[in-house]
Amino acid sequence: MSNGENLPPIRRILISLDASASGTAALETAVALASRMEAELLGLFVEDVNLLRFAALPFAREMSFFSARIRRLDIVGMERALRAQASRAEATLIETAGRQRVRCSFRVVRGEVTTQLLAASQDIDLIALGVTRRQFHRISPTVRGIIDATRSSVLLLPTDARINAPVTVVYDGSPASIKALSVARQLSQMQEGILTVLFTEKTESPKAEVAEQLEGSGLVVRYRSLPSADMAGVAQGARREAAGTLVLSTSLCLKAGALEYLLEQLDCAVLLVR
Amino acid sequence: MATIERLGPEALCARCDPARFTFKTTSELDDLTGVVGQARATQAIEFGIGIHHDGYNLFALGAPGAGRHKVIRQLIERKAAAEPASSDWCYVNDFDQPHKPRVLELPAGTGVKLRRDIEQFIEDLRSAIPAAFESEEYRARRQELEHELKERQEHAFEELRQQAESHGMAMIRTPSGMAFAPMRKGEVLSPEEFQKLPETEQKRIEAVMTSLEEQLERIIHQVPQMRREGQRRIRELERDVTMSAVGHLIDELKKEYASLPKVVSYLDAVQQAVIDNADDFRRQEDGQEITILGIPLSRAAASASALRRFQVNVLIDRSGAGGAPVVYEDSPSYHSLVGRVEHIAQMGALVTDFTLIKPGALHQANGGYLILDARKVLTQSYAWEGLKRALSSREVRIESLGQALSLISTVSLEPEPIPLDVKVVLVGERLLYYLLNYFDPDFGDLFKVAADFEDTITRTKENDLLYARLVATIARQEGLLPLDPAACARVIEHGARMAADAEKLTIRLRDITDLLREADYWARQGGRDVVAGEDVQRALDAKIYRADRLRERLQDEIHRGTLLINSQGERVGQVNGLSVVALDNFAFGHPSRITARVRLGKGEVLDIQREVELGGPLHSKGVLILSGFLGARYAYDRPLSLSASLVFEQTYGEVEGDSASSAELYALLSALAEAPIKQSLAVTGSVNQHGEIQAIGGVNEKIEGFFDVCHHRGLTGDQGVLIPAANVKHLMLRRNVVEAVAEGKFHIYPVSTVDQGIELLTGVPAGERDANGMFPDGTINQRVEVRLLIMAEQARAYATPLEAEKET
Repeated sequence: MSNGENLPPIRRILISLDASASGTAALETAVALASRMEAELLGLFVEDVNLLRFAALPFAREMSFFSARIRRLDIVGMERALRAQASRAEATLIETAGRQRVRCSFRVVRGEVTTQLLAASQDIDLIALGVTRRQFHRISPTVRGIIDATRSSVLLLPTDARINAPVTVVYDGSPASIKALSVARQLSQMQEGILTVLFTEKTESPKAEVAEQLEGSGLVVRYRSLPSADMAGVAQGARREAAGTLVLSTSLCLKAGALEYLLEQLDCAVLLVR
Repeated sequence: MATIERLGPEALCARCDPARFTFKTTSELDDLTGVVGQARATQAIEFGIGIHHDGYNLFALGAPGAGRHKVIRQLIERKAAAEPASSDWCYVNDFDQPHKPRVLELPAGTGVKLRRDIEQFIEDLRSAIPAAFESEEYRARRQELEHELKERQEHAFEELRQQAESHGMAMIRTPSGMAFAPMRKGEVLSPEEFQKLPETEQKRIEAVMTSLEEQLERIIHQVPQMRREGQRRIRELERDVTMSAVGHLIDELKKEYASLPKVVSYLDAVQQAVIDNADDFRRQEDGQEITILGIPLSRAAASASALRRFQVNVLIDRSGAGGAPVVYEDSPSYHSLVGRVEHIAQMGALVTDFTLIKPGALHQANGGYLILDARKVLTQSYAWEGLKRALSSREVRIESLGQALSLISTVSLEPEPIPLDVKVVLVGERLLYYLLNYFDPDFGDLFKVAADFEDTITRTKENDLLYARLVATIARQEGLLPLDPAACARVIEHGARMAADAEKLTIRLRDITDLLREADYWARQGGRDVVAGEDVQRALDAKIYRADRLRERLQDEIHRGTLLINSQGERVGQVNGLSVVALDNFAFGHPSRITARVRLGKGEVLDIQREVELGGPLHSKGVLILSGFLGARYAYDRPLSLSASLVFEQTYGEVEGDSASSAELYALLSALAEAPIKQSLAVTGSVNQHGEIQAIGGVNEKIEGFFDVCHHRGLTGDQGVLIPAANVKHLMLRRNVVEAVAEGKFHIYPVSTVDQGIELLTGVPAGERDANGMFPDGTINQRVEVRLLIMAEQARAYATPLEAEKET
């Protein structure tokens, strides 16, 4: 595959909906992305089986985050709360997607969140996940589990982050990075902006396969070398280029603590391509 | 029979002989530097503007056109020019109480400089503050603080999470809160699994949950506190950054205004306000969208609006002013005196701030002099009250009328009052002065000095020359042609006529100036470069012609016989009285027929004019005097059994004044004596109870009024007018009257007593009581006395049978 033009575009995007603030912000970005790529959006609400199990315990209770008051929980109440949450999530999805005229569907499933998301992502090109800043230090097991197991690309959207220009892509020559380059090209063309390619190796001129892939894209392309091939180097390079969206291979982030470090250092959206 | 000397032509008009003047035209005469004939008023004004104590404000009283404004301005401007320039006044924002703007007094010309300096200061801050907040140092420090706050919160939760984990529990997010759940192999224990646990384990789990919840509760309570602490530290950082930008700029200003402690204090307040509101200076750079009632505003507009509070409103600017201010307020309404707070419409609401405070005349004149027309002040709603309050309190407080009268309670602004040091000069008519003095108890305390302007000066040879110089000065000031001696003499003669006194000259400058302007017009029309006597005369004639439509109508109706006036023949109980009609700036006389009828009665003289309420009080007084005269002279020892009725024939409006009382008495005597009165004569003059004829007003107009009737019908040589002898000195008659008298075609008789008058009118001697107290037979007085005696007898004869009936 020498030319990114032949790569299948992003046609189906999965988003996990939980009616939280970060989820809503992620939804808007996902809808905007789907609109530009003419993709279909699938909203998935998972009724967490762990919550239901907890609510069935005889001493189950929750503490309000605002008032610190303790409230008893039971299985019926929990199911009702989850249904209400799902309704809100569906309404938000339809309203947001409707504004942009994006095709969408919504599903409610019950089970363990990671398992259900992975199951739903079988024929999905991209999974969009909202992440709160609190999670930077410690990626939630759900997110971690998805990144480790999915075959799809994953878009991590910190609160307030959007798919912004300039798009910056990390290129290490791996097949995944070639795919990342292709996705980055598509995103840059949507932004009508500049594409920055960060090479993990020191190089004086763009590699032939990269130049070939970007040929005829109409983009202004900047080629830079990362100060180091590790995650610290990626973060530093992305900051230096004021990256609006960072695209990189998932394999670069599989090392323990690598993704946490990257998200802590950057405010922008991160697209992990597998 | 006493003979009354007719007045000669020389007594009818005090001529001014042009030959007395040595100049060819008035251009040769020097300007008058002083004020003619106003020594008393001048001295009062100089005293009033010189004395520096409370309440010594002035009231210049006199007739309109007497030159009061000119004299006052002249004297005040001369004094003000030698006085130091008064202060500039500025309103600035009070940052602690924005609804109470504070005032700054500054040396003349400093207000504008301060405004410019503050504008520059704010402009500098608009770039310096955003630059300071853009600095890497600020960003790094702020990020550090934000991270610190975040870390503190996360650390607290993370510790709790780890603690929960160590007890086999997980902190989980529920749809509406947080909870701790017992875990096994990454999953929450099911109820069945939990039931299978030993009781001690179950109790342990519940105890751990309770303990963890207590800790979570503490953390949740700490979160707002942590956030507040974090925000406080960020604010402190922002204050430090702002201070670094503002500090040296404000220090420069404070150094410059070090001699003005109030300005320095204001600059301190500005510095504090800038530090407290640094966001206003950054708004154009970043920040959230600003809306009013949901409508977005541009950031630049919102920023400009917020920065208005730092402006300086220069209320009074004395830049370049020499001396104290002299202000004349032509329209002294309440707000134009005390100032006002304007409003602007913004999004449908009226809003204001200290920059919309506008000065009033009192602010403009502060430290100097304010000249006002009393009538205008009194006719403007609440202007007089506002002026008095400012003068009493010695400060100008800007309030809307609604506030001042407590009509509204929504106070928008309460500007700090400005100390007032002003000398107010009210210019008004005498009547207003006396009314205010009588009815307003504050007036005497606030306007202690009265400058009473004369209307006339005594006519002497010296004053005639002075008058010529006055004429020359006015002509020069007004850009008029110079006058030749004849024109000047004619102006002086008319000056005496305007004064209604041959021995006085009017000094009502407005009237003199008007005459000179009009004479100038006619001279130019005639192609002359010097105003001649004929131009002055033409100006006078034209002015009369323009105004005398009504006079002409009256004369016309007399000639056509609509108004019945005889100027020949004789009639019993009928005499020609004379009255004056005063229009705006023109008065004329005309004859009126006065008739008297007598019959038996109870001694009353019936004034028909009064009975129908067409007689004024003075007229009624004159008629009532007649009863006194008749009773005392003819029936002092018996009842006055007379009933007489008197009427001004063909009058349809109110008759006022007692100048016809002698004419009424002549008609009455004629009716009683049955002696016919010559209709070729007309009469004016009031009479007292002793039969003495007293002076009246408008003598010239009255004589001319009758003369015009006779002249139109053809002068017979018998016609004339009886005037009070005391009025001879007031005669300034028209030329054609004087000429007719000189030719013996018309006569003026100065009369001192009723007897003299009745003799002239009837040709029958009046008669004096002899040693026996009897009037000679055939005289008017004897005939009147006999008639009254007969009436008394008749009255007694009528009364006697009734008395006899009563006795029986």
